[in-house]
Amino acid sequence: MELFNDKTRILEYFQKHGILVTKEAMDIILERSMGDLIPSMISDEVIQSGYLTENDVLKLISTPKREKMDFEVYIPDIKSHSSVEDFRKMFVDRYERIRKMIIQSSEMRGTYKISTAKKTYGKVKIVGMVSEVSTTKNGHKKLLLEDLDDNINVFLLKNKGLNNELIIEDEVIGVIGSVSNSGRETVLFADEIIRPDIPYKMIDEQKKPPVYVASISDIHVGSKTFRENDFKKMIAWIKKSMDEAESLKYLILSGDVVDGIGVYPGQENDLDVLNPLEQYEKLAEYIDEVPEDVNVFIMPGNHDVVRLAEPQPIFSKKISSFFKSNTVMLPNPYNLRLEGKNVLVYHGMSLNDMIELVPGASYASVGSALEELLKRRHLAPRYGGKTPIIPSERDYHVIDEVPDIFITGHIHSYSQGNYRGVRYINASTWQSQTEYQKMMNFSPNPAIMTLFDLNSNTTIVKDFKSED
Amino acid sequence: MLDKKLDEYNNLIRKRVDECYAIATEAKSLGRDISTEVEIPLANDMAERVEELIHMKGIASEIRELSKTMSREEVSLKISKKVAEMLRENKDEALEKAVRVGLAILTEGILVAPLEGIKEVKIVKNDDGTDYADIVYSGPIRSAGGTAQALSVLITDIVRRELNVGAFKATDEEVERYIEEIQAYNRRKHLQYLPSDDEIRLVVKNSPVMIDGEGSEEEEISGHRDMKRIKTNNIRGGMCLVLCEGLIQKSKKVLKYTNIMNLKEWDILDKIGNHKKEEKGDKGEKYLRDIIAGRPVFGYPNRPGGFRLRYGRSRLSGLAAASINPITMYILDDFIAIGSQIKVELPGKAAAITPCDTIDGPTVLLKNGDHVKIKNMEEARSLRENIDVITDLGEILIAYGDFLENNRNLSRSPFTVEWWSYYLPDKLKGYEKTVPDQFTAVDLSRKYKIPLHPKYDYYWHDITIDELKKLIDSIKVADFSGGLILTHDIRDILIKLGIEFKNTDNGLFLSEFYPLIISTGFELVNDKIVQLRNIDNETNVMDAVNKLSGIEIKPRAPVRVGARLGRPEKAGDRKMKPKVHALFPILNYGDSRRSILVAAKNRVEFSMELNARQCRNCGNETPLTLCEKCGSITYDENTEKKLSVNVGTVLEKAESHVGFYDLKELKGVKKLMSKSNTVEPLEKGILRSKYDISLNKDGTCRYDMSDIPITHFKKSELKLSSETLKNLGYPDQEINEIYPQDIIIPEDAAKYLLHVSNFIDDLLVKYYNMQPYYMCSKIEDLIGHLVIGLAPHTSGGIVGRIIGFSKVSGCYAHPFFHAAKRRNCDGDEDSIMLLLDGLLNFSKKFLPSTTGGLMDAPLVLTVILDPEEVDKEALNVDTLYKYPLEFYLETEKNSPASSIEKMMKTMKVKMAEENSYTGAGFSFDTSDLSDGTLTSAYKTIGSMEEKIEKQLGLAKKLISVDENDVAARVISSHFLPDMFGNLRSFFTQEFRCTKCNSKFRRIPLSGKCLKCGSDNLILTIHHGSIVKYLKETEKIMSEFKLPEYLQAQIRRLIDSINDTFDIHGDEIVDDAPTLESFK
Repeated sequence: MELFNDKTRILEYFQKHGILVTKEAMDIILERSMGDLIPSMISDEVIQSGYLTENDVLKLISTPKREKMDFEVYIPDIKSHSSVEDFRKMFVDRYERIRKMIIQSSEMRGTYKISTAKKTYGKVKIVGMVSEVSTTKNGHKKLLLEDLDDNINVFLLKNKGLNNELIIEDEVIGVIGSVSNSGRETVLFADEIIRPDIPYKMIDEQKKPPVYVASISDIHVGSKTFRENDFKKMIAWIKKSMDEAESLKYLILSGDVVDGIGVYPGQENDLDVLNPLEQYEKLAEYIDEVPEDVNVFIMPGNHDVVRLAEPQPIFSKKISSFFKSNTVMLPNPYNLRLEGKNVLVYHGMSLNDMIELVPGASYASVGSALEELLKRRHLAPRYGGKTPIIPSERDYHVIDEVPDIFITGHIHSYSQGNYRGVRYINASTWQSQTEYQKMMNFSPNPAIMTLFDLNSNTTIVKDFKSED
Repeated sequence: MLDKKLDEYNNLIRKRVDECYAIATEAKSLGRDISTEVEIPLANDMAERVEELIHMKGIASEIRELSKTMSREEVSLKISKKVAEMLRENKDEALEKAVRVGLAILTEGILVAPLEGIKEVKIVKNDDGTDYADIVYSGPIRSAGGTAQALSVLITDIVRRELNVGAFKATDEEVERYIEEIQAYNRRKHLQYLPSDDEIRLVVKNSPVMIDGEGSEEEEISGHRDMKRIKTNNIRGGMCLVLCEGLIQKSKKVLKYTNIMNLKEWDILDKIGNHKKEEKGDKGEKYLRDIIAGRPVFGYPNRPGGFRLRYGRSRLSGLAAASINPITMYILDDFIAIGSQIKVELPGKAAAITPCDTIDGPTVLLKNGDHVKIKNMEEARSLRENIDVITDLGEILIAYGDFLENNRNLSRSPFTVEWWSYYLPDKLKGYEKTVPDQFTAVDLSRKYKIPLHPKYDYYWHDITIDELKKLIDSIKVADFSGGLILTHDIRDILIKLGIEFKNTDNGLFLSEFYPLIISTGFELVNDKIVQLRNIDNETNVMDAVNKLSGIEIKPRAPVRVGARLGRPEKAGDRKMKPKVHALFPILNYGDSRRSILVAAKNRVEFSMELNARQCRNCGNETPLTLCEKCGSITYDENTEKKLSVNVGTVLEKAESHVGFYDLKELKGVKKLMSKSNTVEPLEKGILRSKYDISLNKDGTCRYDMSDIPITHFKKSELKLSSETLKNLGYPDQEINEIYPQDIIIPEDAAKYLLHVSNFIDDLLVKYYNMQPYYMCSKIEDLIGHLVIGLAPHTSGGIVGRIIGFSKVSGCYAHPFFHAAKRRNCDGDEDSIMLLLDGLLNFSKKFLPSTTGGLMDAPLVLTVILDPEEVDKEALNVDTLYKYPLEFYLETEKNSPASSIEKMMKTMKVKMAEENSYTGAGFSFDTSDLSDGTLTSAYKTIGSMEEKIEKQLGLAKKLISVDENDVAARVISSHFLPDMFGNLRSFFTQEFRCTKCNSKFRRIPLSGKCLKCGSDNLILTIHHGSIVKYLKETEKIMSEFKLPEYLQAQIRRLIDSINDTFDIHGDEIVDDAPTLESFK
């Protein structure tokens, strides 16, 4: 598209179409750098009157065009063959893809394979997957690091201050250090740990009218503790299309959209709707109220009626058929591209593990855990915890593309933040405190919707919580 | 108190023990063992056991002295204080020892709790500089029981005061940690009593000592982590037990002592433990809640058709064992065998089953339509295949003492012959033994105004008034010719009443009819049925039949006892897995079989950390007791060193020492588990292999059995000769009351012990160059020989004497013998070993160094049983030959069992009144103690599928069981969790190297074992284990009516599995129902 950034060219353009522009209208156009919106200003109305007025321009700003879009969601068909190879291939894939990210860093130029590094002296650079982490008697940290054909013990010494570095098993890291052959076995003393991490990104603040992505999660329809009133209030707000809702174009539900069945023992006592399909029908009734021109994305979580192991596939045809055509089913996790931006959505089962692993992270404050995921470019770094992952040739939890927005849910608290320009959020829930949470002494922070503006670096938080 | 009447018997036992002890002492003194002394000290009483367990020399006499005037608890507190005083130089030691001694006294010096249940007691500084006592509990504290657990806290408190140690002050955050932790523990392992948050808060805030624990559970706390004074983030199981099931649940008992000791801080206990009642409501159904696949349910709570309660004690019941008719065992497809545990609705949670053929057997409806009470085993065998429905399981005999022990109110007694007999005039007492015919029975009732004989008393309370009316209408028009012929449409009413009939084309033929027509208001006049009275406006069937009959009719079966199969009976030698002959380490050199022969053949020589001994002849350092270089005796250096072992040389030498070269197999261990890494002489292993006997971790050979009681045995059932009987010290008569330490073991156990005795004799002759002792060539030769009886969770054994053999899988012994081991007969099992085996081969140096390692080890041995020192439960065994009439009347009032304790002459009462517990009686005879099913079908049926099929088949057959509910419970409590669990863990599983057995949390990237480089890495959880029960589940779903929610859960699981795996073998049916097809 042609770019309109100076007054002369804008005027020429309108003149070509036989339209005069008022000074006020021109000021607004220039002020808000609305150049690329100009073609859309030539409506039938304007052509008839022959004038472009201030009002015509403002109208365009306040009602950005919402349109229903067709989203092609790529759904990998992954199944396990119940073999050791399935598992191995997945970790090899993880290793290779994250390794590529690590060696892009200039300081990691010239890495060795571990087997080669072992035969050299002095400074080396290697990339490996962590197999074991332990602390020595003297307080140094010891890692067993593996690559595709060898492994080596790496020491993070206390006096270098590296012993406090958070190392998570099965993450892939680069190590710069010196090889020592003096002991019984060859070991590496680390000077520096290099992570794939998120590159610093300049946020290009475009002066564009806002386009909102709304994030909600963990609705738990069908549970006795589902906050139906709050949820209805929220839907009604969207439906009214006032305020920010006018510019709402995308609504994302990141998992546990219903309470499901058989998720934990005795769940039947906590359910309002015992039939899982009826739970989805009920959800569909609410979502039906959302205007057609808002695109709705629904992802499954651990409560939903799809297989538990990640990546979780999209809902079955039967369940999908309950929803209107503005609804798109997503697998979990999924990197959604909206208006040229990466929106990474993950329900967040691995957060249970991360909260235990990351010092300072808790169910009430999960931000630091999310940042650690981004640093490692992986959604579920540690294998063997509480996150079931289907072994396959590709590791679907590697964060290939640097996201602009990173959305999670699952733990029913609410937090948001910004890590190197990535806006992240742990979306809130629409379920009140459950008996289990009561026992665990955890108070959820429910009924909050977050609106991201895809065009600016801003978020808006809408609280729909009513007093209980 | 020792029973004086038993003096002669006790002397016999003591003499034998001394004999064995002398032999063992001599053998050990030769220096060919790892210790030169016998390592099992003998103890005559609790005081000595405590002294030996805690290693406090001289304490026994003080305990004994105090025990004369004080209760156990008071003695415990007193001695603790004394010990603290004695050791006060070293406060830490004083505190720890004092607490352990106190707890040892409370647990009679038998349990392992004082050693293993308390990890440490330490003195820690508060932030403000004051100090406090921190008592760290671990899992085995469980065995001490709630009261002793709670008192151990009090002891700590008292002792720390004695030592001027300050009080613990919990911070608010610490209190919250306790709350979270206890709730988390309760989710994993059910607590008997879960206190409220406030209760926990109150106790932790006010406890002057810190109740702490080892992080015993794998699960970590998620909230209050990394606390300064609570060193672990794992759940502290021991602490949870002591706080909840101890201090709080037993608060009332604890208060008693805090008041005596004037410990004001503990007055708070008065406010807690009060909402205990909550759980009681559905107590009766509890046994159904944890239903297990393949273990059938026999009756739903108090449901007609189930076991009918009968009061009394057979010579094989009491102490939580109940008796049923052997025919019932057979009819139940042999699922219940003698010694099997059943979970019951009342009076306790579970019971072991023994046979009693003088109580009612089952009633069944045959496929030909006949309704039959099965009279004997022969009839049962001919009918079993033709049974359509089991309409009544017969009786279950439960002793009064078990109601007393469980602190229950008496359930109403059924009307039985014993009870009926009290109404008989003296001249007619003969009817107590012989059953009057149907006409006489009615006449007796009319003539003497006594209730109708129980045989003709039907289950009137099980039918409705409308059914009674229907029955009366049917009798009104019934044909009569030699018997009553009733129409087919009242079949179910007759079945409910428990009336026998033959199915004929003309109708149901009743040869026993007279009591029925009398009970329903008719009379037989000149071979014609005439109605005398009709139903008025009665609404209660019992009232109605009493009125219609004009005689007294009492409820025949007011209480049915719901039950299901618990643990099947057990009898077998104990094998370590895999089997071991000698505690001799060979690392990985014996391949996966751990074969010492293989290692020797490969001329393996390795070195490892082992307990070092020195040869003073040639200076060689070796782990062996006989120098492999020069053959001399070596001496323990009590230190560990890296020693090299040449397996070939050692084996050759050992073979030559015992002169046996024909070994087929000789299995060692990979590594030793003990702290000192002490190696057992290989000679012993060679001889064990020769006799094919297995070894336990402590150096002894054990035989494990279910515990079952016997108070009287028959000469004939044990096939004892008069001479044998006399040699054993019994009068030569058919029935004898069993001596308290005599046991009747399974023939299979005898065969095993026979081999062990041969092994011991060989050992004596060939290894120690002494005379053989046992010289047994057949099992009968074992009669009169002694064993050590020892239970898990304890560390004190008791001497027992073999007097005969049975065919059952359980150890028949006096209730006091089981109680001396701290066991009852509700499905518990424990072990025996030959006395000389224990004395010669046991060593503490073999015991694992892990927590619990001291459990089930004979650290001390009681020679003579003292009834004062057995588990108090056994004192509730009743001893009457016949329960008195008053008893039955009390049951009608649902009186508390404890209110008539004296009248029922329990062992406790008997001992108090007669100063003797011998001369006890029993109220029901059993023909033969081996009569009945010998092995539960649960054990003989191979596949789980078949077990479940039988379980559900029985459920359908029994009118006392809701088969659809059983099916639903099996699936939801067993199959679904199992499949879901495996599905979940599939994705987080470990990997294993088949070559070196190393485990890996994650598969190495290279796909090769990081230890040995082999590429034989395999999954630890396979697709197969996920779909293991899938087929069975689907089958059950199609055959039974399951709740919809459960059906949806199953379909969801099937979908999930299909969505996860790309394997379509036999296990997954392609057209399996899915969630899609559900709606």
